[in-house]
Amino acid sequence: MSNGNGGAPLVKVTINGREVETQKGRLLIDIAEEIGVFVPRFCYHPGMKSVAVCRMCFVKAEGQPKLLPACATPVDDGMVFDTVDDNAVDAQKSMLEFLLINHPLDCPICDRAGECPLQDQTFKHGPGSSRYIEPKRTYEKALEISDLVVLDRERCVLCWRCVRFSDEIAGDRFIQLVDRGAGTQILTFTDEPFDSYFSGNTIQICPVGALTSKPYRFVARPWDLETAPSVCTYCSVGCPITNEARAGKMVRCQALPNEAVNDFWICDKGRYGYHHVSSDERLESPLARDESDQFASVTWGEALRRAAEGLKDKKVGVLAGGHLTTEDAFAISRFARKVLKTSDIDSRIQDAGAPYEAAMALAGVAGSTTKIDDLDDADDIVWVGPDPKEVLPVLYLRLRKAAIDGGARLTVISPRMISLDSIANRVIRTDDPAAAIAGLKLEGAAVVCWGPSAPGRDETPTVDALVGLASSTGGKLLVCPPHAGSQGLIDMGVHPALEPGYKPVKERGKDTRAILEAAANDELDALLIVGADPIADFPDADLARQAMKSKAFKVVIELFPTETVSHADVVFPSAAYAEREGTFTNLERRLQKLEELLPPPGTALEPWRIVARLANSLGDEWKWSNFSDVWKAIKSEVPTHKDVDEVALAQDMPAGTLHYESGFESEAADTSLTAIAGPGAQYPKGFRSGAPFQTGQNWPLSWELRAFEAEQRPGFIPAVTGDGDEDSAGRLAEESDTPFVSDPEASTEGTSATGAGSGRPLALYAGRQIYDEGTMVSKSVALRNLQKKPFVELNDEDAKELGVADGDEVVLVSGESEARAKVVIADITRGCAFVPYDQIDFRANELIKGIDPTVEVRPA
Amino acid sequence: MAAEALVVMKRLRENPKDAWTLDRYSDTGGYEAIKSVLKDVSADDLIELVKNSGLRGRGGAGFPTGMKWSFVPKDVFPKYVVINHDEGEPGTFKDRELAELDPHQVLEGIMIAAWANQANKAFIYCRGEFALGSRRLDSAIAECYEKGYLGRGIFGSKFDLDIILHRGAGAYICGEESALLDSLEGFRGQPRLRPPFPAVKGLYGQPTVINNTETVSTLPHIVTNGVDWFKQWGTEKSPGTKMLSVSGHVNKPGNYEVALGTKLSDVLELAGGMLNGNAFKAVIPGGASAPLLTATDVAMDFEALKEAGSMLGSGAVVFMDETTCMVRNALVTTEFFEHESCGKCTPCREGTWWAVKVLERVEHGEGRQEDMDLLLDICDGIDGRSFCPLGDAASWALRSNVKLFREEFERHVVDGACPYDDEHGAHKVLVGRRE
Amino acid sequence: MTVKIHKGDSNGAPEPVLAGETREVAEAIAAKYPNSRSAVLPLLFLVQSVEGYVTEQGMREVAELLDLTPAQILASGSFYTMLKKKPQGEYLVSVCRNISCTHNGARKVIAALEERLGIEAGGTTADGKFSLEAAECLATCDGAPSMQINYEDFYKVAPDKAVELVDALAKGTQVRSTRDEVVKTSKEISREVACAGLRWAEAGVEDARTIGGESPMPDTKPGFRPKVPGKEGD
Ligand SMILES: Cc1cc2nc3c(=O)[nH]c(=O)nc-3n(C[C@H](O)[C@H](O)[C@H](O)COP(=O)(O)O)c2cc1C
Ligand code: SF4
Ligand code: FES
Repeated sequence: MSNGNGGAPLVKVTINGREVETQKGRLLIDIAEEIGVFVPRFCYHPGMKSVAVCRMCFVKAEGQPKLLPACATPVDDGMVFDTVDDNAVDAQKSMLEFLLINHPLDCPICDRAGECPLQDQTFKHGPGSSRYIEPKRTYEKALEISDLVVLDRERCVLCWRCVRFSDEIAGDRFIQLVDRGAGTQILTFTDEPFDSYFSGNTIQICPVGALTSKPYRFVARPWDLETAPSVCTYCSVGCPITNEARAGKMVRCQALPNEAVNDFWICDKGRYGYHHVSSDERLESPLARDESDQFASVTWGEALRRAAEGLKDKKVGVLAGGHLTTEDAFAISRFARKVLKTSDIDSRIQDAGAPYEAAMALAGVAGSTTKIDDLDDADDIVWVGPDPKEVLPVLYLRLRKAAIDGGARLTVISPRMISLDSIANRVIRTDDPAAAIAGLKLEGAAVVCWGPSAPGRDETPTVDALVGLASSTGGKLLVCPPHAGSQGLIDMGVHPALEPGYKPVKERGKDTRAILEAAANDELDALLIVGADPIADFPDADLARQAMKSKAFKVVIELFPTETVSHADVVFPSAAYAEREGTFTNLERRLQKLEELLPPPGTALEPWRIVARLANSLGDEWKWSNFSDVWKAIKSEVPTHKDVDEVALAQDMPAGTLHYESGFESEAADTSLTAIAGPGAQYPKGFRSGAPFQTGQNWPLSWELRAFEAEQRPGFIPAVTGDGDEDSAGRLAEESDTPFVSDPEASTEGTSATGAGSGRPLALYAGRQIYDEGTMVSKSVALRNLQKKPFVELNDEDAKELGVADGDEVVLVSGESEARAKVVIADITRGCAFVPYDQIDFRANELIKGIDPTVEVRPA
Repeated sequence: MAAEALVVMKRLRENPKDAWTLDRYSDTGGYEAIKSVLKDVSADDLIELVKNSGLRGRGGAGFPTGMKWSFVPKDVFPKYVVINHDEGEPGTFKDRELAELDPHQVLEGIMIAAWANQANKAFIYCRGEFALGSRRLDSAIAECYEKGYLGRGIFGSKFDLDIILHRGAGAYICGEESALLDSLEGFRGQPRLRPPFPAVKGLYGQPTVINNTETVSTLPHIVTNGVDWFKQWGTEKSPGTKMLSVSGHVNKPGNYEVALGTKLSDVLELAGGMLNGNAFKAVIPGGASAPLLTATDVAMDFEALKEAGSMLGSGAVVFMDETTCMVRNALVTTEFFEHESCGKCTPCREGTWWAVKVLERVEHGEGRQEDMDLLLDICDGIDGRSFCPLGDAASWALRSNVKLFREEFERHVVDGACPYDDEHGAHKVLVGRRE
Repeated sequence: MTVKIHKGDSNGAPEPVLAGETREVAEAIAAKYPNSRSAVLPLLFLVQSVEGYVTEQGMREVAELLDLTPAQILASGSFYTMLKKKPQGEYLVSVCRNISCTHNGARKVIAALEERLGIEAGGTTADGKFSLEAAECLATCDGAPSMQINYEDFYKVAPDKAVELVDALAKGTQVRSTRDEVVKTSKEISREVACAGLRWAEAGVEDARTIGGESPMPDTKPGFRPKVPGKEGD
């Protein structure tokens, strides 16, 4: 877990004759691994508390009669260990034999075969033949415990990793240990599926093939896989991942650990959202209109000529979508300013108008002034933004960890109940966040988090208030733009008010809304749209549609034939994230590198190449032929980036798929550089994991007890206590002025007076759900099935006045647009209605007209 | 001639009919100890007193009670006292008798422990199968609340104490103190990783003292009569008296309270000797977890039994005569551990399961020559490597059966059948069938 | 939800299990502990006292009552042998199968009962009247061979004695244990287990007093005692 005892004193311990210096209280199993001594293990995982149940990691400690489990042995000065002691090795052999007596030998049809610690261990020091001649324990095979996860209890070695992950890390307690003794098994409740946004992690950390991925089942053998490290292309957390392909088709995506970003985890959207890459709907060649105004594929030369014609010396508006890399962003920004000579450029589509630049008041950057892992040490955290579990899933895990393990005091300000409420110390339910923020006082190290949460609503007052709060209390700011590329686009000046490096432009250009309006009113001659689908994403579908239908000449760079593409004049096919070298800048403004796994389909190219070619054909010679050429330019032209060493960003391939925590290959691998973390994954070495839950004493606390304590937030944790981990609870118990209460009534502050009864329509709040109709994610059938049916959240009093009840179908009316949805009575501020943003048969942006939209709710 | 030394059993022996009523308890000196303590013994002095008495836990581990109390941090509140009344160790039936026949003695002991540890809440984890014992404790607690012996300001002092009765649900492992806590918190009863020890982080993550029923029942007597009186019995390291639950092939099975250090042969004599004069074959001196002994000339105290290669454990003494099939005995014992293994750790879960399979074969005459060594290997695989002592215990018991009676095991293999004429019908029911 | 992911251990009635008076008792049990999480086992006994065993519906309701997931309830409930996974007889006959009893003829008793009831240990008679189990040590070794009927103790039971007891119960005659306790039905005894210690539970959670903490009286510290021995201090 997070290095809870970074401050602990240094001690010297000896492992197999080698003396190491390390922090007191860290776990032997980690320290050994860091010096290349691998202690076999099944239950231990550096991302979770030790339970020491598999008994595989025994080592000999000098002066100790009994063997010690390395995973539960915090080191102290002068300790001497022998991991290859005869008795220890004998113990490992025994455990293997014990585990194998009931393990089916169906390796030939097991997805895990070839990357299976149990298999590797057995190969290494398992018994040649079994002394167990009785029949094995059997269970009903392959249970589909969710739409994504399949469970085979016969293969399970009961390491508890999946259960611990769900209890401890995700808090989704759907998969549990059931029955007792030899009959103990992992199971879900009979009719309650393992519906967790993070379920895929349990598959990756399962040391055998007990949990397997439905989409990946029987798809490939690990040794056939090609692997490339990359960065998840979905949200702005930017989880490092490995992309894996078989026979030129992308078939798997797994988490790469980085404790500064994602610990060891990714969400299921990141894990299962890769199908778009190898989708056969991809655009493969440039398209242009023929005489009958139909699209026809044309040569690059032809397409570029037509595009250049349409853009040359014209009034052009430029729109870029959130999934572009830093390089693309730089190219687009440079092209707009240098070639098209315009500041009418913006990348905020769904988050149109989000005032990121307001953050500059704090430290001169239009973004975060703190890092994700600063959350772990924060005393006070304020969250004003979307539901992170839906929009920034792994950030939700980090916030949860900060609140539960780190004991940070979490304040959540939101018009509706969100996932964080259950672990918050203080919940402020209001539709006037600015006012609520004004009333806050922060203690100690504070991190103030904000992300655009309601498309179409003006959040400037909120952000100003937050920036004010941060600067007045010396707090730090964590700005959370929505997409993987969002921050890079701002940094590179794809922004009407900021040039690359946050240089304010002399004269503000048009933002997304203004550009669309101008186009709609024929005040623009042309539009350049890169990786964006305004009709689907912009919070005013009508406006976007008018703009797209306008006379303006449209050049579009895209992966797929989107609705926006259908209105284009010239279309260029773009390479996808797994098909290219590049960098994403995540929400903490960390540059991370994507490596190429597959060639792009047809003649598709990276957007920056396409833009460079456009520039060339418009007579501006950009001599860019590869990634580092772009970076040469970036470093010379973008002050904030001049010192970046893009070469150092390169991620080497993990040593192929044949490299697991089994340690079987660990001699072969250069363990001095990397540590092993789960099948198919390695990560940079350094201080990490295993550091104890801070009990005031440096020991790992059993996760049962920990989960128990976690469950008690914000419920009963005794106020009077000497223990560090309960301090925060102690503080909040003393809190009298601030309403920390779990029951919504009391926690509701500054509720607006407007109610449906007053005849007035309701304020319309829309928010993204984790699985939506986004261009990329919707290509994953598995995830598309998980989308929610259209719903609208209403306050129960508003519902009463409207004469509708929970589960009723209602019609939402706004201007000409109508939509049907089921009512969900929710903990939401009076006078507000919440709908999902972009779901099958339900496009909230069709209902959104203008800024601060409203909606009428009528019984169907 | 062997004699008993009655302390905790005194009242129930003298008043078998009504020792459990409050009236009888009061007019035999009941609740005087706690009253005097509340009046003029500070918590710290009380801990000192118990330390000096040398009282050791009667639940099985034999850990010095006073020392255990002294580990509890002084400044952390709330604290809890939990009474381990889960008595599941095969052969043990002492706690049951104390609760059924002298429940108020248990409660007074709890009050003293609670005061010493400044805990305002105590829990009794009562074995689920104990219907009568639970009833008696329940009504005794009720009487105490009515009389103001429990609740706010007990006995007119300003010390609050609540006692919460909690029933187990059928799991031997819940007798293990940390598993007991998880069970009491509503989880699966599985042992916790230690440290932190319960004294520091126990029930609900708070400092918690866990004591056995017999242990706390002893407290009022130590408080009333003092350390020297208590030390008149027993050895230097194991002072005082101990209830021994004697059963098996003896004429007068039952609980006998004797001075620690009493010879096992004397205990056998107290229990009326071997059943219908049969020859003595083997004895389990401290519950199913304890390795077998084949002689009775050993002193019944923690040290001497350790010397002899076994242990006092819970003080359950099971005698077996010449008619006993030791393969069957090993099977019955190992089956028990296999059934009660919590399943948390690999060696206990898989090892006991495997051992049972092998023992079944041997007992039914399908054994192989190599099975005896295999059984010993399985024991080695578990011993010292399981998460909690249950696994170790399983291996100790099994190993001692195989080691001490190997030729008997081998005869099963050679004869291809159990050599014993089944006078106890031990073979009637096939193994494995349970609830 | 109706979708079955996999076959459960038990199937429960769809209608609420903890309803009316039972629901009130359930809430009282949940309130008995400093943390309601501790009420999982008693509440499952309460479910058993209504349904005869621990049903899925029951587990769902306990989960809802304690704000846990049904899976968590299943995890805890399935661990314990007294919480039954399948329908049980009105009378549960448990014969000890452990050392002392086995060595003193317990298995003859089991055999006799198996014959009388026409079931194997572990089974339940077709008429749902009796369940028979070979139990682990019942801590009545001094009465070996010993057995329990719905957890009331019977010492030194010869096979024919055991059969007599069953016959009596079959006839509907009241039966008393060796300790002279009346044998209850399995639902009644489950209810008793669920409610153990409930009588004074309110006292335990009276909010005037902080959990396990100090007396509400302003002049007292946790576990207050007079400073001057003998005299009530403040
Ligand atoms: C597997 C196992 C079962 C145990 N069962 C019991 C029991 O039934 N009753 C008991 O008092 N102690 C039992 N113990 C011992 C307890 O863990 C603990 O040491 C004891 O309750 C502490 O109380 P004491 O110090 O007063 O003996 C058991 C220990 C183990 C490892
Ligand atoms: S030894 Fe292991 S499996 Fe056995 S009871 Fe203890 S923890 Fe459970
Ligand atoms: S016991 Fe240490 S890794 Fe499992």
